[in-house]
Amino acid sequence: MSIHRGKQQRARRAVLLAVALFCATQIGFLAVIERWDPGLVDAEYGTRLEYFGTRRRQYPRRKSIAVLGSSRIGNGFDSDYATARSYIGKDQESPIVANMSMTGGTSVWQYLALRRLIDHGLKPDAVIIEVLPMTLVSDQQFFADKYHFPTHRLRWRDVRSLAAIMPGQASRHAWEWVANNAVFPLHSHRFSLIGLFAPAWQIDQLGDNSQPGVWRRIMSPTGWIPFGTENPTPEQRLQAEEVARKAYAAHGTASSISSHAVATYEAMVACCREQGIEVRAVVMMPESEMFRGLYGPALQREVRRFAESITHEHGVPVVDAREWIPADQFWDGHHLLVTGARAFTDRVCTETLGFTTTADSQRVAVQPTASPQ
Amino acid sequence: MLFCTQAFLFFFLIVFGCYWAVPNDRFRVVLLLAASIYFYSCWNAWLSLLIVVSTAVDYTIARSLDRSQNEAARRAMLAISICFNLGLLCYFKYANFFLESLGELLRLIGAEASLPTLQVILPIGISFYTFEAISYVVDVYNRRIAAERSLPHFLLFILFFPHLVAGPIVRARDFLPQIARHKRWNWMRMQHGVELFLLGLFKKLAIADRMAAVADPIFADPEAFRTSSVWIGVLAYSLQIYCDFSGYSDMAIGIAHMFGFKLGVNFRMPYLARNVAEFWHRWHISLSTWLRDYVFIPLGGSRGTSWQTHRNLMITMILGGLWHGASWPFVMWGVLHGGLLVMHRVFRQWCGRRDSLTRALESSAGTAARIAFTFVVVSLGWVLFRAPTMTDAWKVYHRLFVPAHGGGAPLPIVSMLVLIGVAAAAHLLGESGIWRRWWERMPSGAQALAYVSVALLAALLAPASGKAFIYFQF
Repeated sequence: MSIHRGKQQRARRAVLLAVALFCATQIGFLAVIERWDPGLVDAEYGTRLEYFGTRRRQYPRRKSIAVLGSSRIGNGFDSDYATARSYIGKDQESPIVANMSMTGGTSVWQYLALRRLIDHGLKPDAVIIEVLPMTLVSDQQFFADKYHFPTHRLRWRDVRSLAAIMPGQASRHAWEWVANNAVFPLHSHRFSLIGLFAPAWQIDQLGDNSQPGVWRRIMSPTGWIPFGTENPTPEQRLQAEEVARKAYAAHGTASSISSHAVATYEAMVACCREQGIEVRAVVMMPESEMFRGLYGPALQREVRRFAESITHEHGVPVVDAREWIPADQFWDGHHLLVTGARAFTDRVCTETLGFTTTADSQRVAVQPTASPQ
Repeated sequence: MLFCTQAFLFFFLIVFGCYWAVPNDRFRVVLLLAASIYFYSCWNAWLSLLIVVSTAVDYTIARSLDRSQNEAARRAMLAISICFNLGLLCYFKYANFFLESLGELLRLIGAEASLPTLQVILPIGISFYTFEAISYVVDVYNRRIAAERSLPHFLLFILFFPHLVAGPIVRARDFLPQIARHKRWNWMRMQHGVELFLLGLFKKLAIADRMAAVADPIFADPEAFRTSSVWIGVLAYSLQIYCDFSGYSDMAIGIAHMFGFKLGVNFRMPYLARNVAEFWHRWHISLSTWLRDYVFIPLGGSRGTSWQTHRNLMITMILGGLWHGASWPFVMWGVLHGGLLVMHRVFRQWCGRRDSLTRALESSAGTAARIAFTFVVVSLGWVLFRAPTMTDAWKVYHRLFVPAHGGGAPLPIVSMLVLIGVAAAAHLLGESGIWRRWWERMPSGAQALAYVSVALLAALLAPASGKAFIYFQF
């Protein structure tokens, strides 16, 4: 009888201890990602943050300019080149230029990127904000009641940041975040962990934006992601343009833009003002003639009105670069190849950032640091 | 709702909490029944109605069988029940296969035939619960068991969610008495349930699904890979199917334990079998014993001449192959295993007259060689199991045995080799009994640490693309 009781007690101890230990590891890991390492949640952002932070520590007295946007500016703004050209004058130190774009980015992700920089104590002195005119229409989806925001890419503080621009969805986001992240955080963020500690065990391609190694391979130390190919064949380009056309044609025929997306951009500008961050410009990225042809007259009018309101109501210059680059320097009509990126960056450096074009600049420019890894 | 998903965890915790919170047996049966119907209806609500109705029909027929003393009427009722169950199975699972095969046959003999294709959804787990229902009715007919009086109890026997969709195939005489018995909380049983569930979870997420990432691309296009890679793919699939199915069985048995039920063991380290006959005593035991009891023995078993025994073996294994799926590769897989069992019997008789050969085969080296040979033969058989058509299977075999250049293994095989090592070591430790002795002497803190480590490893190693259990399709 006592042997049986002893076995029962042993079994109870083992089970209860296992449950307690399991819960403790999950809570501990949750604390780690919340407090210390955002890259475990969002590998792309984590990599950019790490690079930016390293450069800020190397040059603590230099001003910094962060570029916020989507993959378009991620490919299209060659921040390596901008850094090499960042000479302003003899009496001023060249600023640190960082590409902090988010692949798949939209107004909401740009807002989050800005909030994350501020939360992390890496507040830039100035920002350039990209606006995708087409997504001024499609961003409405993020505010729809049925849209499931990818909460696994967020930390709890991101959920709170989102609540500021999406108050109606705050409780749902909070619940989805808990269900996706808080129950088994080690499982939810396994790709990041495997990527960091046992890359030989990775079996999924890019695994949901979660593998830091992938971003380190494709991203330069200033955050630029040069487009993978430089000379696409006509067939490749046609295929890529067809994909873009399918993705955006419906948006182009819209007669109005999303008031929520506009409000999000306005919230970004307001946030910058509140934090003392200078908004150098709101940029509409280059687009090929084919892509520009997707805009209907109503959308053109709405975009123009949006640009005017940003300029007049918030005092921020809007740079409409849509016609800057010829069609052969695009991959799919809206993502720039390296030559196109260089041409676009050159013009932004001169016209918007006020970098000098003298030969001296090459001599004194801040070179991008080596990759922190 | 897969066992290895968060949705199932929430479902399980709610049912588990309610089950043990209310110590009323009738409530518990109703709760488990409701949970099981909900579990099944997560796939398809209409098909859950089908299974409930077909179970109720079997219940009614069995009750009549039990009451009746008229042998002719009883035989007729048995025939009706078997035809009803097999009729449903054939309609949902085999109708299109038979129609397609008939169409091909007609085309072969030059007839113009355009036979229709039925648009039916295969009810998940239909092969499992049909066999459970048939065995119950046959047992009642043979007066081995009395017909169950309680409809909820009988429904729970068929619908109990841990074994509902992919077995193990349970027998009424084992399970029905357990339903009637009052359950008391038992920590040892709970620990055993947790252990089995975690073991199954690890097998499924950390091994089976990772092996699938190696095997799937190779089976999808074997001609794109070099011979050595195709061998790796076949090895990966052998491990995948074992860990996938035995993982499911372990989880099912573990969950049942946590509710106070005991389901039969379904796998006993089958890849350590020394011959094909032993393999079938270790692999999918609930199916192989069902086939033995309800097909092989009624056909005459091994009581007749050698030729009759061999015929019975072939019929049983072909039906076993067909049970798995409605396609020619499954039939051929059954033929292969039937043939191997026949050859094994012939070889054993031949060896019986040669003592020195028998001694050599039973030595350590001979045993290792027999295990390796059985494993290779069984693995080659899995090609038929995995390939969608005979042409696809032929492509894999051709690549395996005719050396050819091509791509390397689709993914780095470091992790695969480590997992194979872990599986092999676990098999050897388990088979020798060393593991059980260590485990029982281990302090409870160390046991808890082991549980957490296994759970975390399973959670971390799970690939992005969660796969349904292979045996769900059967």
